Amino acid sequence: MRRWGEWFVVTAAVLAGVGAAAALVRGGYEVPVELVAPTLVLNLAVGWSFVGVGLVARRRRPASRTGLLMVLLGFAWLARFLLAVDTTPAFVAGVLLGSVSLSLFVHLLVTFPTGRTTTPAQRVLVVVGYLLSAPLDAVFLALGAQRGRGEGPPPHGLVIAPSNGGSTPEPVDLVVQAVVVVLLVALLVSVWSRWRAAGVAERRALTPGLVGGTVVVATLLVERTAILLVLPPSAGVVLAWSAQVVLVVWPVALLLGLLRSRLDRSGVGRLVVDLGDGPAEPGRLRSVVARTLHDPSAEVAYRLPGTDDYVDAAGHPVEVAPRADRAVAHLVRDGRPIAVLLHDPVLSGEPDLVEAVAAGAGLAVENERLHAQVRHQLREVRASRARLVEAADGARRAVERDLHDGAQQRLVAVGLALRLARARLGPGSPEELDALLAEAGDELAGALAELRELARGIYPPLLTDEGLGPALASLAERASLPVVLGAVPGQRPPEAVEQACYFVVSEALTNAAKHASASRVAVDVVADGDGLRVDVVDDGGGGADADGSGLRGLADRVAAVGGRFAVSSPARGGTRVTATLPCG
Amino acid sequence: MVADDAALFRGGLARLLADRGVEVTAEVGDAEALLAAVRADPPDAVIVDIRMPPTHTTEGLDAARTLATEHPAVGVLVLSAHVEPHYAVALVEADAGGAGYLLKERVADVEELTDALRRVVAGGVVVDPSVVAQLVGRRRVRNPLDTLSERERDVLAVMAEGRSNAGIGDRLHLSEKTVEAYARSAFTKLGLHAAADDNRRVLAVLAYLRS
Repeated sequence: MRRWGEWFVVTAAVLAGVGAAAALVRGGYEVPVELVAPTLVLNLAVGWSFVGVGLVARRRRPASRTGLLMVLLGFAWLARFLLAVDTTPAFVAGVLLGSVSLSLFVHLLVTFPTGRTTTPAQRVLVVVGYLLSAPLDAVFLALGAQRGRGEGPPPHGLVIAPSNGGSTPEPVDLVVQAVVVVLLVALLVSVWSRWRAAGVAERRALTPGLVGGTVVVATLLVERTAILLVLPPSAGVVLAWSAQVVLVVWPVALLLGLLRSRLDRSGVGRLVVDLGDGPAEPGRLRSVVARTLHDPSAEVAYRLPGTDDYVDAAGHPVEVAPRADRAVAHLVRDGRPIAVLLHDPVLSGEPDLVEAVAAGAGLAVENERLHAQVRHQLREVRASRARLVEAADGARRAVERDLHDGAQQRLVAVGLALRLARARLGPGSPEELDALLAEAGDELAGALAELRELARGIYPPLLTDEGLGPALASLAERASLPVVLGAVPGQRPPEAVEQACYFVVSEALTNAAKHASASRVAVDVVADGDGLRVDVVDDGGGGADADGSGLRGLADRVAAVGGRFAVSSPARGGTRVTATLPCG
Repeated sequence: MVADDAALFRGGLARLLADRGVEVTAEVGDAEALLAAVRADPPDAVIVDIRMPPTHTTEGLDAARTLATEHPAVGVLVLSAHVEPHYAVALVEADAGGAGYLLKERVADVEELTDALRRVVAGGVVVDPSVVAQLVGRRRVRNPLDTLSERERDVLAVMAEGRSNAGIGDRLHLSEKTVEAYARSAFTKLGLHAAADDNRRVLAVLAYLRS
């Protein structure tokens, strides 16, 4: 059916060409003999080029209206040759169809490559293009203007010759030409602002058509301004010829843009090979896909099973709702969506390319999805571990504060009351009572001292108030074995790191005192890249159990802030506890 | 003037002081109010809790620093629940002209409290004995304090609490001359230089003990 349609169009185009030739030769006007052949060759080439290439475009890109517009433009171009027939109906039809071809040109250029207007500005340009042509000409014709008819060559510059522009232009002509010039400038602005706003993939499609179109428009522009500026007619002749030459090739440029991605079909094959050999690092699939689609902004997001959430290769959440600047293609496996491809919307015009890429990436997608899922879970677990440690530290601080503001404060008040009571006893009261009160006061002082150390062990306020240096110095001062503390970096790290560092030292000192029978411990905290490294080294008996609950707890605490923890404790070789804590 | 956010304690302390003939001119609940009261009517000394609203960290220390510059003549006694030499040294370094760091429960010993008050009013420094004890008792790899005799060590410790030679003598039941002799020999053994005045001597000893 479609083939028949195409044959019909081709036949019609051939007949239209033959008709045009007949009209030129036998239409009744005088055509200079030397101009017949060039005029025919060039105009038939333009008309047939648009029709032929339009048919190819229509077959290759059925979704785009560009092919249809090109075919129509080709026919309108050939139909202009009715002007060469010296009768009134033919003249009217020739004028109208000739101007329609210009409107179609505007339509094509503005809406390339989809053939559809997308913005109000584009709509205005296209509509103005149509209004300025056939309707305006119809008004002129109705007013009786049939200029150029009669003696000489066919009217309206059908045959490009110097004698055409010979007469002085009338004011109404100048106005129309000025409007046309404005339209052409607007056309160029519209087209190139679209190019500027386009992504890489879209530019690939736009560039050939826009460059060709710009050349045509620019030539027309110069030609029209030449009439406005009343330049010598010979200049106009050259320009008019060259514009027609460009028009012959322009359809091919349009087709090239339409089909450009097709040329990359081989790229899909390379995609499979590339995915096969490279190292399986996260995000590799994304970069290979982006390269194949010529869309650097392309992204692949993987669906987390059992949810509607998507993550990138590193496990970070990704928003996959379509946006104005981004289209979404779903990758489905066994009927379930497993990933989405986020790409430049212009690629939506080539669903088959996107599909081919998706299919080519299939196995790799499945593979990387599993990795992304694991990474996502890992991130969640890390975050929750950090939250747990943070919550535990928060609780410790709360307990310390409660002890300080509650029990300690009350016991101090009790001590004060005891003291007041003793003062009130006065002379003559039994000495026994005074001694009892004094004893109670001493006991209370002991309880307070114990409570103070307990609260301090739970959480040292000095750490929050003054930072790691003073807090570690205080630990060293009260340790039950000699501690040599190196200079601590003055800049305060994030709280979680500060606390991890403090508790590593605190626990390691306790271990050294309790189990290692060490005679001294060296504590060093040094800046390590962006983070801190803390070493606690004793000269004790070694043999510490890294899986014991104390060291295990430290390892967890360090891991919670993304750090590394190591214990080296050879028998009789002392113990070294090292933690590396990133501050980023 | 007494500043503490615990009203019960504040009231008790004020009564205890009043019993001892100390006039309490104002009782306030936070550092802001304390500074305002001092500006309105500067007392001889203030007693301030280290940890008060709004952040419950070291408001009392910060207030002491402000007073040291605004009202250097006002003695400041900071009460704390922490045996932390860091705070004590920070305080006496900031306000060597009449500042003290005492553990809160020390107030139950009213003699010690009034003694400390008198000393800060007179422009001396006071460091809580438990803070000094922690510094003196620190384990060291090669402990230079081991070269001191017991008496010399006692003299050094009481000196670190901020007492003058006469005060040390009173405390240890020694004559001032004997104290002087012990102090000199202790300084020589530790390689410390005799300081120009008592307060600088305290700072030097504290710095030595902390190093």
